[in-house]
Amino acid sequence: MQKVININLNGNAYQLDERGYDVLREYLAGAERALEGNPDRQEIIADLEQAIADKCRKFLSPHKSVVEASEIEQIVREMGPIDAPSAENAADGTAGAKQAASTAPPPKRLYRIPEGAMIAGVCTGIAAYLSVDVSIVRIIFALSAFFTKGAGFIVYIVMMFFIPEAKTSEERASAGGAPFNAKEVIDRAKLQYAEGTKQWRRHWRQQQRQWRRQRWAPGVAPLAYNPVPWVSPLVPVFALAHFALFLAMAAMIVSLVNTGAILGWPLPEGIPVWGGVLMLFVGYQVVVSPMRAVQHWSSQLQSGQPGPYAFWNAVIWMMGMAFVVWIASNHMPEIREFIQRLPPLIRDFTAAVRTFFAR
Amino acid sequence: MSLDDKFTAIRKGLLEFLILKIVAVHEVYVADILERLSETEFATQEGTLYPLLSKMRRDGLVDYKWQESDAGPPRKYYQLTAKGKSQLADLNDYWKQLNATIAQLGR
Repeated sequence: MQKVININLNGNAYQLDERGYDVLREYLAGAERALEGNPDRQEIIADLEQAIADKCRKFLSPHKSVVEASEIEQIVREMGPIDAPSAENAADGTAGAKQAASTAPPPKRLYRIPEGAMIAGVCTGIAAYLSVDVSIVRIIFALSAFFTKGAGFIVYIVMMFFIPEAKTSEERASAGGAPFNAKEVIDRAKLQYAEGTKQWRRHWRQQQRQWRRQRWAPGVAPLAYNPVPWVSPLVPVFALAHFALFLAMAAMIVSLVNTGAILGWPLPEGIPVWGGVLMLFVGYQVVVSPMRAVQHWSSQLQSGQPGPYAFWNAVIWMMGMAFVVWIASNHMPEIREFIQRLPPLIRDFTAAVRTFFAR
Repeated sequence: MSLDDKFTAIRKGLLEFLILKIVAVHEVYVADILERLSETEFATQEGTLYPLLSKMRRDGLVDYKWQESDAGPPRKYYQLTAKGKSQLADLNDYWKQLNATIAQLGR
């Protein structure tokens, strides 16, 4: 005994068995996909349904009221694949490829998924896209935000802007796969930018009002100014030490990339070069972070504004960097080599990350 | 690209021309067109024909009207528009010219 499903084909009722129903539904869904963007899509679908209905009728008789799966399969074969012409390619041979695309499952796309999201659903979306657990994505995001002084968080915000939210169940179903197309990205960015600037302007006006009130309201004390005597003279020392450490790290990375060993010390077995670079970078951040905290603290103490300290810090760094770059570009072919070897290294790294997640 | 693929591409390019020719004789509905084509190398299926006819209608080459049928629901009967007729004449001329060129060019 088989279950029978009643269907309505362009206003005609028919009874199919379950398998026949699946075959027919698959065919019509494929037709809808193939005709996506066609202004006459509804009409063509109605025509196709009518043609299928006519064919179904031929299989029915007073003693047979159900169209069987094999008959539906024959009908679908007779109907043939949906070959959607457009003005441009009606005459060339691209229909084959197009047809193949239309019968493939809908492409996976990267969406933000608000269900189970902590902030905007970027992590849940990425997890769905890569089919990994969402906590892994979250931990990686948190770590990267921590070690890059918040740059990871900025990446999150950028993704929040660019990745669409999965609103319909269809979008949620396809949350994960081929990148969204460029025009969509640009349109969305424009829209979100317009909204964002609106909000930012509102925020800015509020801030200005607040400042005005503070300036004119008597009795509002300026921010506490509470210098610690031993910090101020040490600030340039910290800045220099910080810079020296930065140079040391840069030198180690350069030597690692060029020779495969950190200033003569080979890497432990089984650690790839990009892994070594990552470890060096993390190590540098760990060593430098207390120093940075002290610098930040001392600059906070100076009336809450980035005053003379920040200025001198920036001058030292800029002069140092300019000097190093000048020396390097003049005297060290290694630097040039390093810069030349950087792109494949980055490619290796991203490939490694991708294979890790693909597993 | 195999020889078969080349033939397919040529047939594909000519299909619209042939439909114009068939519809020009007298107004027809889709099953008639399919039947006429089924006896030729241009045998076509609904999945191809309906989208193509809808495109030709959008281009203003054909139009249809609903007609009652004695068996089943009303059907769409297609006929050529003035634009379709003039395009068919152009295509016929061009086809003859192509044949002449092909014959002239060599063996």
